[in-house]
Amino acid sequence: MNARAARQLLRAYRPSGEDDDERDVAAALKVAAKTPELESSFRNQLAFDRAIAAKLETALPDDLATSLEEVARRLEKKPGRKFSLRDPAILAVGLAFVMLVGLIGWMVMGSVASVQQAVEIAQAGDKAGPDQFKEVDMPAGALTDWFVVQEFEGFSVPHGLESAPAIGARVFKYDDLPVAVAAIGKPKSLWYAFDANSFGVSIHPGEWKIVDYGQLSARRAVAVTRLGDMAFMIVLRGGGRAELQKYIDSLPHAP
Amino acid sequence: MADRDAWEQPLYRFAYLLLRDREAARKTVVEALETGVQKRPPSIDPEQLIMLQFREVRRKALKNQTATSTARIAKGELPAEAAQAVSNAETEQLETILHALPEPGRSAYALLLLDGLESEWIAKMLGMAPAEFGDVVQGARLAVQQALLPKPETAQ
Repeated sequence: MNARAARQLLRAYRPSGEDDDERDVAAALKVAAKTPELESSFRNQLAFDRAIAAKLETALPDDLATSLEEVARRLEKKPGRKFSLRDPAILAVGLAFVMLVGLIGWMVMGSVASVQQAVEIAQAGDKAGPDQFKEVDMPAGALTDWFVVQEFEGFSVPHGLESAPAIGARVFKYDDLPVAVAAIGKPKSLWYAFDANSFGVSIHPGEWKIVDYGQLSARRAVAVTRLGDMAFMIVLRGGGRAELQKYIDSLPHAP
Repeated sequence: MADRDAWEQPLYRFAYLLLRDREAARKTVVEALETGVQKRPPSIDPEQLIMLQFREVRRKALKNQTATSTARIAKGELPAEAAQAVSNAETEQLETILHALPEPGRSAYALLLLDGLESEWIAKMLGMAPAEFGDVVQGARLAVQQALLPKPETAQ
């Protein structure tokens, strides 16, 4: 580990020292011990964080502490299901696992259809009117928490698109699964995020797949990629495959 | 009482820092825990179970706030005398400063200070890569340090 990586890691160091035994943290502490400038700034940080942590650790009133502990213990101690091959639920999970393995094999072999459901989502999304969006005014990269509040976890945008201006956003259900949509002012477009596995999107992260859809009179295209477990999709308003390809080609590559 | 980590206390303190209202914090935490009891999967990693409670409390707290920030993350290092300024500050002043921080730096730094979760779980909860998490925490830390600086006196 070099000093830069150690500095980065130690910025998120727990002032209680509880993480000292973690391999990466231990390595970073060793690097800091050998790098005077890093050790000095780490000491300042530690003193600062510990001083704040000590002030925040005020005792809770007894009745509050007791009532919270009572619920927390109930949460912790809920008995787990015992593993038994005769348990119908375990059998069902086993069967589901076998089917899942088969399904994954089928999906890998049939990757041609890997974004079909993404196109269907785009078609469903096209039907939404402006009144179905909630007005927002923030960069697309800052929408993550906005969507969390709407009970959609994991919205993110590809590298280089964080500062695009979002002017509207909404969450809708497709096949009973949540789909997040951001209306972007420039380029005028809709950006979608949804669980890639649930919708059978099997694209490698960083790879973009562009697919045409719609009637000849209103031909459109979607560009789909994958960000971790999520699929991310762009539909340009007033543009077809060529414009979309040009836009995707203009994006910076992830570092 | 000492046979377990009382993680629900940092959870309450976290809720209080986000809401700055003791009754609302108590209600938010109890609701999150009761929901957790109802929806708890039969088998779940204890750390993940606790992380889910922090995430739920944060979600509930953010629901009534517009805390997301578009501000750029401050960069740099703390000066040597930074800790002294904390010693001179009142707890309530620190709570107010932390409460006023923009998200997600507020949650990231508060969770680190309150010691309810491992750093790795905090980063996971906030959907951040480790490097980004370090930058966000440092930005919040510097913002607190700046807020503790004595304000220049206005000319009479």
